[in-house]
Amino acid sequence: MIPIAISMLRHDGPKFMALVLAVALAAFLTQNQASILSAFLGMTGSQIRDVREANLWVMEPDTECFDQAKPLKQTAVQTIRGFSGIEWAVPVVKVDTNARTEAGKLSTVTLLGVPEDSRVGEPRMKLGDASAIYRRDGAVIDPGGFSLLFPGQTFKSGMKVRIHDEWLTLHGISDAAPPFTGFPVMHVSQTTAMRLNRAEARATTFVVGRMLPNADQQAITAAIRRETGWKAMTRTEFENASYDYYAAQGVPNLFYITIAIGFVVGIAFTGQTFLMFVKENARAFTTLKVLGVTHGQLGRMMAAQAGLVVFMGLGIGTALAVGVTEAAKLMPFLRALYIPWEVALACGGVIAAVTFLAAGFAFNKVLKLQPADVFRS
Amino acid sequence: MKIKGLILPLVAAGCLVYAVVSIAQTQPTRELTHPPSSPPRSTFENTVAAVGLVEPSSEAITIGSHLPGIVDSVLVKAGDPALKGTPLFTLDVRALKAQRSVAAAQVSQATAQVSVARESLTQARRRLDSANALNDPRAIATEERADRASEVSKLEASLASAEASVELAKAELGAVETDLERATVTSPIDGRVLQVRLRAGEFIDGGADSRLILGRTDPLHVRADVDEFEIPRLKPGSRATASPRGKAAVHIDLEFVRFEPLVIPKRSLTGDSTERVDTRVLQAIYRIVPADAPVFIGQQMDIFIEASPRQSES
Amino acid sequence: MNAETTTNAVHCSAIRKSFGSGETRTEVLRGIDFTASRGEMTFLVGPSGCGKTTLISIIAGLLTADEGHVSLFGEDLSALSPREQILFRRRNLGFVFQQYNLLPSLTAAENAAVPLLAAGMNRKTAVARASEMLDQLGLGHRVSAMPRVLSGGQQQRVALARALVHEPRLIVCDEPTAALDHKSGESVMNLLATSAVHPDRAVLVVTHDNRVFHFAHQIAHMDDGVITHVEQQALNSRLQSSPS
Repeated sequence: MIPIAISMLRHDGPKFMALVLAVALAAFLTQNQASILSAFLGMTGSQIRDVREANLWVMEPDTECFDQAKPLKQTAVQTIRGFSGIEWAVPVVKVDTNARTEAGKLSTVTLLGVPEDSRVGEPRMKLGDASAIYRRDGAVIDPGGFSLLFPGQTFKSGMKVRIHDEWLTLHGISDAAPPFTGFPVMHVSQTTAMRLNRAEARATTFVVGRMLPNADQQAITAAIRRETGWKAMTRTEFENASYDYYAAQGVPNLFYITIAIGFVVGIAFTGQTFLMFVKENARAFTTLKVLGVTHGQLGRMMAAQAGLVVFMGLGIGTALAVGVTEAAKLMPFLRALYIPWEVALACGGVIAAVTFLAAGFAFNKVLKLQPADVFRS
Repeated sequence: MKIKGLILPLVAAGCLVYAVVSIAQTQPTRELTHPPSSPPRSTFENTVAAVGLVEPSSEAITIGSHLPGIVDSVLVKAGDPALKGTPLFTLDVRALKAQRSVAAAQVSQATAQVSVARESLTQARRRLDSANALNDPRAIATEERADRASEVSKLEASLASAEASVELAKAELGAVETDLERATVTSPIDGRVLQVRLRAGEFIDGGADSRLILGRTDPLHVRADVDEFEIPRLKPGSRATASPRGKAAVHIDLEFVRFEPLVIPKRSLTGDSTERVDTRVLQAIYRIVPADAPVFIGQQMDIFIEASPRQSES
Repeated sequence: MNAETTTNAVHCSAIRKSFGSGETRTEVLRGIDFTASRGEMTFLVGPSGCGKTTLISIIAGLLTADEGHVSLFGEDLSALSPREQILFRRRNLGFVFQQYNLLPSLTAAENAAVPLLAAGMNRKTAVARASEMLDQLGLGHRVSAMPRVLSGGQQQRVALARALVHEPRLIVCDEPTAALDHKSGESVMNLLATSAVHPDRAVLVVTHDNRVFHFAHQIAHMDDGVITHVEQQALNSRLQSSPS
C-alpha cells in the first residue's frame, strides 16, 4: 500500500510541492539561523580552539572570556607545571594594542605571542610559512584582519604594520579563526609580543597546558583552583564560559525568534496542507477504507507520505542552507561560518517530528471519515 | 511518466547527499594536536618547576687589575683553562722598568757613598791613633787630639747614614720590581676563561671592570628561581632535572648544592626593561652532574625539582 | 449451519435504523427482512430516499443497524470486532460505485489491484492478476491508462475488475449505471451478469435505472424504509429482453 500512498501524494502536484517547499523553507530558515548563531557565538572561542595543543586553560579569577583577560604573574607557568597530571604547560601572551599601516589605517589588534621553544599555538597558514614569526619583527595576520588593515589589496610578503614605535613585517596570512571582536589577529613570537606589551605590567595572559591522557581532568582543575586561587578550566569549559559570557548579552534572542518562526511556519504550513490533502482525497481514502484497508495500513500510508515530504524537504532545505553557508564563507569575516552537525540534526529532527505530527493530525481526519459516505455522490 | 516522476526525488536525494557530505567535511576539527616542538615536562610524580640560569660553580669572577694602565698583551682566549697563577694579561711596564734603572743606580750610588765614608773613617781613626801614640802634650796639643776623636765619631755617623741610604735605595728597587710583577695579572683559581673583552692597548683602570671573566666550569651550577609560594614543598637534597630552553627532550640530572639564604625579587629573564617584577623567589643552587652536559653558561633552563606532594593531593 | 443459511448469501431480519435524535430523528429503515441468494443477481429498487443506500451500507458492514440482525454467509457481522469486520469485508466483499471511485493517481491495473494489495499480495503479482481481470472485461489494452483518460464506461469496467479481482462472495453495486449512457450501462450490466454471477457468489445491485431491471433474478422493491414486495424473474424473460 505504500507505493499507492506515494503515488497519491505525487499525483497531487501542487500540494506535494507546497509540502516539500514548506519543509524545505523551515529546514533552511532554522538551520541557517541556528548555524549563524552558533558560528557567531562560537567565534568567542576561536582563539581558544586555535591553541590546538592545549586542553587546560588557567587564568586570573577575574577573567571571564578570552578577550577580557587579566594577566597572571610570571611564575604562573612554573606553578602549573608543578601540578600532578600536567604533561606540560606554557604561557600564552596576548597583547591588545593599536596598529597602523603605512597608508595610515588604524585598528585595534590582538597580538598573540607564540613561545619559541614549544611553538604551542603556532597558527596554520593560508599563505606563507609560520616559522617567519620567530624572526625579529616578523608577524603573520589573519585573513579578516588583513582585509581590515589593507582593504582591497592583495597580500605581499613584506607589508608592514606599525605598533608603538616598531614596524612589524607581515610574512604570511594565517588560518586563524576569526575573533568575536572582529579585530585583526596577529601572531608574533613571544619575545616580540612581550616587547610590544606596554599596557600591562604582566605579560603572561594565560597559562595553557596539556593534561595527561588518562588524568582526571576535573580533579586537576579543582586542585589548581584550590591551591592557587586561579581559574582553571578544560578547553571546552573555557569555550563555553566565553560563549556564555557573550550569550548573556542577549544577542541570541533575535536568532531564537527567527528559528521559532521557522518551526511555526513548518508546522502551520505542512499541517494545513496535509489537512487539505486529506480533505481533497477524502473520496479516495473513504474508498480505501470500504475496500478493507485497515487503519494500520492507512497510518503507514500517511507516514510514508510524511516521510517522503520530510526526505525531499529536508534534502532541498539543508542543501540550500549549506549552499548559502558556503557562499557566505567566501567573505573573510564569515569564514568561520559552518553548519554544526548537531544543528543540522536537531533542526532536521524537529522538522521531521513536526511534519509527522502534522501528518498525524491529518491522519486523525482520515480515521474520522465515514465509510458509509462512500455511497454519497 | 516513471522517469519524470523520479527526477524530483533524485534531485532531493542528491541535495541530501550534498548537504550531508558538505556538513561532514566542514565540521571544525577539535582533536588535540601535539606541539610542533615538545614543551618541557617533568619526570617526577610531584614536582616544583622553576627556571634558572647555568653558572660556574665558583660563580663568575670578574678579574680586576692591581694597577691602572695600558694593556700590553692578553695571554689567554675565552675558553682557555687557567690554573691558579696562570698569567692572564700584562700591562705596559716601560715606565716601571725606567724606575727600576733609576732605583738600581741609586743603590750603586749609595753603595759608593758607603765606601767613601768608610775610607774617610779609616783615615780619621789612623790620625787619632797616631795622636794617641805621641804621649807628649808638647808634641801634640790636647785640643788637637780631641778634634781628631771628634772627627772619627762624625765619620762613623756618616758611614751609618750611607749604609742606610743603600738600604733605602734597595727598598725602592724592590718596590718597583713588585709593581713590575703586579703588572702581569694571574688567575686566582683553577678555572676557565669565560669572557675576554680586553685587548692590547686598552686602558684598564684597576676598578670593577668586567672585561675578563673567569670561573670554575667543572662542575657547572644552575641557579633555579623558585616561587616563594612553592618553598614549603621544597626539600634540601631532593632530586632535580633540567632541560635547556627549546630542547625539552634533554633531561640533565642535577644534584642539590644549597639554597641561597636570601629570598629576592625575581630577576626578569626576558630582558625587557618595562617588565615589572611582582614575585619573590628563593634561589636553589644545583650542580649539573654529567660532565659533558650540552649546556653553556648563562643558558636558560627549565628545571623540575622533586617535591613533597601537596597536602590536599596526598 | 442449516440449509437456509447455506443458500442465502445475505439474510436480514427486522432491520431498523434511524438517524438524528429528538425532533430531527428520522427512521430510515423500519423493519427490513431481506435475503439474497448465491448465484443470483438481486436488485434493490425504489425511489430516492427510500433507504436503499442505508440498507446496503448495513449489509456491507459500513453502518450498524439499531435493531435486527444481518448475517452474511452465515456470519453475524455484529459479532465481529471493528477490525475483524474490515478484514471480513476485504476478503468477502466487492464494491461497484456510481462514481466509480477509482484512485486518480493509479493506473487501471493498479486500481483494480487495490484489494489484492490491501490483502498484502506483492505488487507485481497483484498487478498481473488485475491486468488479467481487465483483459477478461475487455480492457486488456488499457491496463496502464490513468482513470482520467478513460471513458465512463471504461472506468466502471475498471471498478468492476477491482470488485472481482479478489473473488469475493458478495458484490455490492450502488447505482452502477447511473452515471453512464444507456449503451455503456447496458454493457457494464452485461459484464456484471456474465462475469460476476457465480454459483458461490451473490450480486446485490441498488438501482433505480429500470432499463436494466431485466438483468435481475430477484427484484426487491423498497419504499419509505420497508420492502414493499419482491418479484422473481424467470430466466427466459431476462434472456428475451437482453440485447446480445
